[in-house]
Amino acid sequence: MDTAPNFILTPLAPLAPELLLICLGLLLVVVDLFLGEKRHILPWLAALGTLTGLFLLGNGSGHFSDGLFGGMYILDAYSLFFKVICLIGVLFTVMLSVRYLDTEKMHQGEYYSLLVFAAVGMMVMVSAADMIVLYLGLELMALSVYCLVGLLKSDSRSNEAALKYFLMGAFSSGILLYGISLIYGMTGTTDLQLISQRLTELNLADNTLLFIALGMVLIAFSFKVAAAPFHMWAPDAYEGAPTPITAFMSVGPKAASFAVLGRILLSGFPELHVHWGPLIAGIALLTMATGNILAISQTNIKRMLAYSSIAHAGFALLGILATSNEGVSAIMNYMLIYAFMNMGAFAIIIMLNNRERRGEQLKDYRGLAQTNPVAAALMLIFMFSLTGIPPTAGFIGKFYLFLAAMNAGYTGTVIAAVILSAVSAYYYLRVVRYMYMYDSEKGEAVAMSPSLTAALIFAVIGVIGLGVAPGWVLEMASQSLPALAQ
Amino acid sequence: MNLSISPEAVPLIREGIFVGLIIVTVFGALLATLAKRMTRAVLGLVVCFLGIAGIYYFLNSPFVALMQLLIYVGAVAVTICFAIMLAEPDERKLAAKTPGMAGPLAVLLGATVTWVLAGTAIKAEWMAPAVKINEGSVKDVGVSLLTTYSMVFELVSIVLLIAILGSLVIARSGRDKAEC
Repeated sequence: MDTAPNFILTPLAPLAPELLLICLGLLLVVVDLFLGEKRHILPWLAALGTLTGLFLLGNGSGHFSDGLFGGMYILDAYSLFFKVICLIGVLFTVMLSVRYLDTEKMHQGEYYSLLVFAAVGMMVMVSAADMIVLYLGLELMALSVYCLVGLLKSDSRSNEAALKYFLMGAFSSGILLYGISLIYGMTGTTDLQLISQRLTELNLADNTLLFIALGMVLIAFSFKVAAAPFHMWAPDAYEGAPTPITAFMSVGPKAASFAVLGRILLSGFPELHVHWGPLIAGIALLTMATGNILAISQTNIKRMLAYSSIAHAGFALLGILATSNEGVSAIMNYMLIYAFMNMGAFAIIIMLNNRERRGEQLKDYRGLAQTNPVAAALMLIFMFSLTGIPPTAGFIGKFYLFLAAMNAGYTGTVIAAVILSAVSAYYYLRVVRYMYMYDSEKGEAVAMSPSLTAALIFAVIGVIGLGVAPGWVLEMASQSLPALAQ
Repeated sequence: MNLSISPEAVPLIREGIFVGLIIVTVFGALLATLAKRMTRAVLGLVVCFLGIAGIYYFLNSPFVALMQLLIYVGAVAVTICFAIMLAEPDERKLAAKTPGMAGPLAVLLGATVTWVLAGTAIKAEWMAPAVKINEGSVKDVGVSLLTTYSMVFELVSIVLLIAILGSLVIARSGRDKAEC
């Protein structure tokens, strides 16, 4: 055809992890269809596939490319790092799901498939160098997660959570698209690198409309990472969703959204830092305050962890605020650490779970140290880490974030963050107090399962390991940065 | 019949068509939001889509106008009709609306956002429109979808697959406890 432009077929080998996961997602649907009762192999298949995906990611780490499909898809160490976090999140979720799905009698095989497709969406998001690809990745992830939240169909709280999440999510996607279309109208491109170039060429740094457009993009991503004042959906969605999905939402989609936010702001709009800097500082402060203060009054532990996840989003925003390689590598490090400690805490909640939703109320933790000392000790470690007490990894994560923001000159914001971090000790350590200071009421035995044990061991190794030897992650994170912020 | 139009009348007619299309769109949108019966709301949506298709055509994008008609009026509206038919919503519940501050506040907020956006957008200097590939014909759109935008094209298909899969998972067996 003579109308076709010169077109070179993009080699697909660098996309191996994404392609593998797409095939895995499809395979899970088909296997579920034909296996009927032998569905218990689904989680194993999902875990095996995710592990292979991680292996392929590691394998491809030497072959970076900054322009697959005409520059729409970037493979760099930055995206690789976040992809690893996302896949670790999926792996944890699969391990947490096995027993939970049994107790809740949820046997939809599509559960694992949707989880894997959500992972594909996140991988596309973090690699996207073009707003359109980014949006499609976001939708792929979001659609899968909306469905996963509503999978407890006989539970009205799950229905409510899914509907709220869906409506809010669709609304924020609309705002994002509006912002993207305005940016396209001003710069004539959706490519982030080109946007950055055109901003200087066309002298758009002080353009009001561009500022509004960027504001819309910021609002949309504040929705996605549940930053105040756009956090309203999070507590309801987190509380109503099946617990493994709550854990997944607070780790995977959040990390991916932060990755994208970092890429858009630092690679697409570095010139506008004077405008978005104060805005992000304000959002970060408000988010930390809202999350930490509202978490104090919660008696439902899933809801408390939802507010805690809002608060942690506020802390992570400090890294974007810093606009330096140091700040971005601090976010990357923090997201990895957060994945381990949050997954660990949720693993304990799921361990206590039975058909009556035990383990979700704070009072269910009374006297856990007597009935199950190991679980209580592990929960203690995860709560310490979430608070940020050394030698756990949570301390290292917060330390580098605060340091980066401090070096960038946001001393006031950092002081507020430290104070609010101290506030957070109240509600995290309250769980510890319930476990150690009170007597147990019923003394119910805790049922374990191999996959849950594996998840707990994995999480505790991560939390302690990253806390004791943090150097290599930071080094890996900072090594990825020259590509991002030129 | 002699239908010669004086050159002075051309801009007037153009404005007239544009305003007419906008009235159709806004009327459809109002019908969709204010109607108390679901089926009428869908009809309003169809009118709104038609108006938007007209605006696309007016703005010299026949392909997009055609797609708007085919996909939104032809497919989306029909799908919504099917969903309404299958779900049989309780129409009486829609009629009962509690008056409160939310309505006026929403109108105020919406008006402010529209005002600010329209105000800045009119004043802004837009990029020249992107290079038009051969009048946006179907063939050229197809070629660029499968070459330059091949990745986007494939991604869209995965997103649609998940949308179908997800809606089936959610809808299947309803809220029947025995099944799930």
